[in-house]
Amino acid sequence: MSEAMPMERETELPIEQMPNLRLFYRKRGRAKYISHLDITRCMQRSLKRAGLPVWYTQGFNPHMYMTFALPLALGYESDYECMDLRFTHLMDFEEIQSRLNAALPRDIQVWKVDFQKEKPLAITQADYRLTVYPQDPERFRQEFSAFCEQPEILTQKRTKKGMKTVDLKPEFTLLGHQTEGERCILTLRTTAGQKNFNPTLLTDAFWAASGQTGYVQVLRTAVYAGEKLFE
Amino acid sequence: MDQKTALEQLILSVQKPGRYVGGEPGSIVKDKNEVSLRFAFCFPDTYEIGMSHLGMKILYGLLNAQPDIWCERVFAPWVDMEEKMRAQGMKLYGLESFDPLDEFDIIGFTLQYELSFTNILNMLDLGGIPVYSKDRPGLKNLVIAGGPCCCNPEPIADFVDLFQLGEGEEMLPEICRCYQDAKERGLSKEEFLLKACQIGGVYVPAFYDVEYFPDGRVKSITPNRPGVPAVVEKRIIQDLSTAYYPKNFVVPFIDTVHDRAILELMRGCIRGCRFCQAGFLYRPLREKSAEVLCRQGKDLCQSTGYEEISLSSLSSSDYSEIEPLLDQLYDYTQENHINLALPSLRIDNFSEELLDKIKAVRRSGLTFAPEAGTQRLRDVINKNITEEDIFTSCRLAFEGGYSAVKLYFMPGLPTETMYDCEQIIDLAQQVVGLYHRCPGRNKDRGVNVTVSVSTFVPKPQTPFQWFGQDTLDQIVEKQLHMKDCITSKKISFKYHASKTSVLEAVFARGDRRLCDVVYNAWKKGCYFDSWDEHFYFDRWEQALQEAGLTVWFYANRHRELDEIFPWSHLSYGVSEAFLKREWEKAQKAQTTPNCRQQCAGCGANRLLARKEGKCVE
Repeated sequence: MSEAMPMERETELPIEQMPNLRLFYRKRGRAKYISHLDITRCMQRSLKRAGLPVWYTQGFNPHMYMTFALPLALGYESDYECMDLRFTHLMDFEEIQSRLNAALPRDIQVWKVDFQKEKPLAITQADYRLTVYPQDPERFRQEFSAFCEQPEILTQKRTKKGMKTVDLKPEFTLLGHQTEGERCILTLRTTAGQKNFNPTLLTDAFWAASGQTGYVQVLRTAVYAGEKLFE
Repeated sequence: MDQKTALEQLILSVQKPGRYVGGEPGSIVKDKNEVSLRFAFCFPDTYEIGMSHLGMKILYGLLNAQPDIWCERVFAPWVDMEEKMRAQGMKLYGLESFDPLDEFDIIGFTLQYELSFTNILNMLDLGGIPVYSKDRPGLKNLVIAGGPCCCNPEPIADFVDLFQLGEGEEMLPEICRCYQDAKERGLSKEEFLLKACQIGGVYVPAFYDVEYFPDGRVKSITPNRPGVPAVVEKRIIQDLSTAYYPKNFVVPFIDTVHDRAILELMRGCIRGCRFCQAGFLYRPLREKSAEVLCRQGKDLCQSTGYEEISLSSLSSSDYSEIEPLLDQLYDYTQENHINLALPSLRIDNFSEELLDKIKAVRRSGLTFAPEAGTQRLRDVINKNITEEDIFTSCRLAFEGGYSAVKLYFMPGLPTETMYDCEQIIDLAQQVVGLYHRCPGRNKDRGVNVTVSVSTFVPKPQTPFQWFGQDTLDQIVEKQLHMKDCITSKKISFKYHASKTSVLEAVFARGDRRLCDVVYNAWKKGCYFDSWDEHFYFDRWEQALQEAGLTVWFYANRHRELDEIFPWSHLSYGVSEAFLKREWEKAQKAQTTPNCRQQCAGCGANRLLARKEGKCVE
């Protein structure tokens, strides 16, 4: 373990000119049970354990400067999570990654460290892989893909102002569907960012319309800014 | 769907799934085929409460430091999870391996408060283990328990095979070694227990017969096997500075009650407040050196990444090196964005320097515990603080910018009258007045004085163990009267549900006849009794009635000085003669000086090997 982390070390640049860093990480396995709020705390403590020179805000109540691009719902896994933060001085990206991974829980691991290229506002779409455990996988696959072909998919969504009818059709594209034993694997591209789409809203709409039931596991596989991956 | 996916679906359908999944940084996973003893450390309450407990952190680290032992954590699942587990026939499991409780060699519970007793039964049952000791004939699934409630574990004596009296750092590994040896040699449970009861601090309830008088009082407690000690004496750690202390904690993902690094300044307390069970149970006083504390604090912060260190003890301002310790920790914590929390300060040695140091790191309100409203009653309980001390501390706090103070009182103390209760409110009113006369007060904010009262529960191994608790009617009458006495909006009054204090009093001084009551109440659906929304006093009354027992006998009855207590065969180092002396002085409102001023001869120094039996310099 490293010595106490020196916070007062001189920076190469004035702090307002230090670039934001973006950490890309996976959240898999048991980490899916950690809520977004708890992930924030977990990251702070991991950064402290790793002894990395994270910049703290300078207000009345200083805290680590840290933002997350697209918060993930409790119970979902993801291979494409982003966290932005700032250091008091620059370090080798590979060293940041290896030190942080050693301090992170096994099921949360950073796979890339880079400068922040786009603002989180640039996010437009995301890809999801859904693993569905239906009563009859083949019947589900056929009926579900037909369900997605409809010109509009109306469903009830809970909003702050109460229940509202929404059309899911413009919000997603079904990229693929196949059965694997007792499971059915769906791949979806959905709108994301300014307008977020929760993929289980679609499966719930299908259960309601078809009378079938099943358990759904969600994995986020990519996040896009327009046509390119969000970086 | 495979087992893992089924479990996942179940966990995601309940509140706070993070309670049930483990995998936290600092948690220890071993290969079960490479250990010879699997230990389930069970906390009979929710994850959030159990994970805040220091004792568990110490023993978890200590046991897992042994390569051939694997210690896992188990908590009581909340009712929504339990319901689903029972519906699916899923057993309670260890958080590290997910293996069911009945696969463990030793199941160890920590007894922190009496109202968690029923949770022990529920957890055993949910883990597929028979709750009565007699229904577990084998060595496997040995159920043991430690913690403060072991000072009178008789109400659960039929369920637990072995109790540990006192501190566990040395005793628990000795028990584990004895168990491993018995397991290897194929000894029976009885043979193992006979060996184990030779270990200092180990109490095997089945090896004692209890006889009663026709009126229900205990007539005698006698060992029923040769070689079983007539009196079991608690174990202590001689030197805290060299004792094991974990370098790492399991860091929870979800928010727990206390989620921070903890430094244990000392064990024991010099004060001798007569109502305080901890003050007697943890004697003699032993301090850890400031140098060791500082090193342990840094180690813990670096390995956990915590943003807060709490200094823990029964009375932190009595720690002899408190100011040098704070000075040393201050620079480190400031540099590393770490808060320093200092609970349990006494009102009479709360100096300006100390306030400055706390203020630098903490901005919330301050809590003081005068305990009683009049000087006479504070002398009865040997609190040894004056009204002037209270005002001085409050003035310091107000001058220092605080505008809220919380005052903690304990109605129902021996010799208390309605006048004493009225004076509680009067004292709070005077503190309000004091604020307005403070020139240095924060003029932007109004003052708020919170009066928090919780009913006194007489506890074993204290000078008040002979005293009968107020009846429920008396408790309610006093609470309502105090509420009526409040005329200022600046005083908020908080009081605790009185029926839980009554049940706590029944258990605290209960005997073995209560075991069946605990069992029957649990069968009627009583558990999580310390949670108001799960507390069913009527079911408890019914269970007592069915057993032919009364609340009055255990809670409200005054004991004669020569009565044999259900815990008379258990010694915590403090002599009965001393406790009687203190009880007699209390009734005459006479105080006893603290241990640093003058040794009161409590007898706990006998437990010390060093310093020719001197506790303090």
